Amino acid sequence: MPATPVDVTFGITKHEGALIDSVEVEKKIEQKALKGSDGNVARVHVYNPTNSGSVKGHGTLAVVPGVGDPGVSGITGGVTVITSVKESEKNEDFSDWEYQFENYPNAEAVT
Amino acid sequence: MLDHAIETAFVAFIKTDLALVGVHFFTGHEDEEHQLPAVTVTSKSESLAGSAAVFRTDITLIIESEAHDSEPDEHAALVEKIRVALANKAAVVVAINTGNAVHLYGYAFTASSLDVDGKRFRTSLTFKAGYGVL
Repeated sequence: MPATPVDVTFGITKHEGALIDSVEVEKKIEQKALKGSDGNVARVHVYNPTNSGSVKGHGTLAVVPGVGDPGVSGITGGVTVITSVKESEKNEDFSDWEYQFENYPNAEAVT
Repeated sequence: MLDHAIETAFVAFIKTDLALVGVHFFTGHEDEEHQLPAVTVTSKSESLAGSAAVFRTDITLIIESEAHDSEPDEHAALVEKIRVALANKAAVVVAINTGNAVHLYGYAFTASSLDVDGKRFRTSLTFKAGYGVL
């Protein structure tokens, strides 16, 4: 009897919407590397972690461009900006939408 | 059974809206003796984004006439009557969404084809539709 794998998921788990096609999240961090006398990197400093991503789906959309909540689990804290929202209609399919976001976990919003 | 529900809804609309005398109506799930002239509606649904309530479907509407007992013009007239009725999308959507177990969001014609053999004229109208269950 093989063990049940538990390290993968199938389907949408990061968004509560009912008609979500896809969710993408990319986590990034910048780095500053200092090379030593022998040419090898000797010191490294990482800073400015950011998260970005997109959600594609159908149905009612409450998200608008600006500072807001992307509705994606794991994207919390700091400031999240909905950078773009695209709504589409097709002649032989359901309407759909897509929005993109950037999350700056160490930032605070200013007006 | 989802397919049967949308098939039944379209059959009901065509049957009542056009009042086609002598035409037999079938859905893809009915095991009946196939008598001509006939209008058969078949549907093949797939879930939208994994939903249990909203679906896409490819609907094929097959119109058949007996080749020995009817003229080509009669068959063409029957096809045209159905095509014209279905061209009024707004009215069709309202009609189907009244009293049926499904909610039709919309549809779009994608193709039509005509086959003729020694026994029958057979025209297929295919369209894509989006619907939900109530």
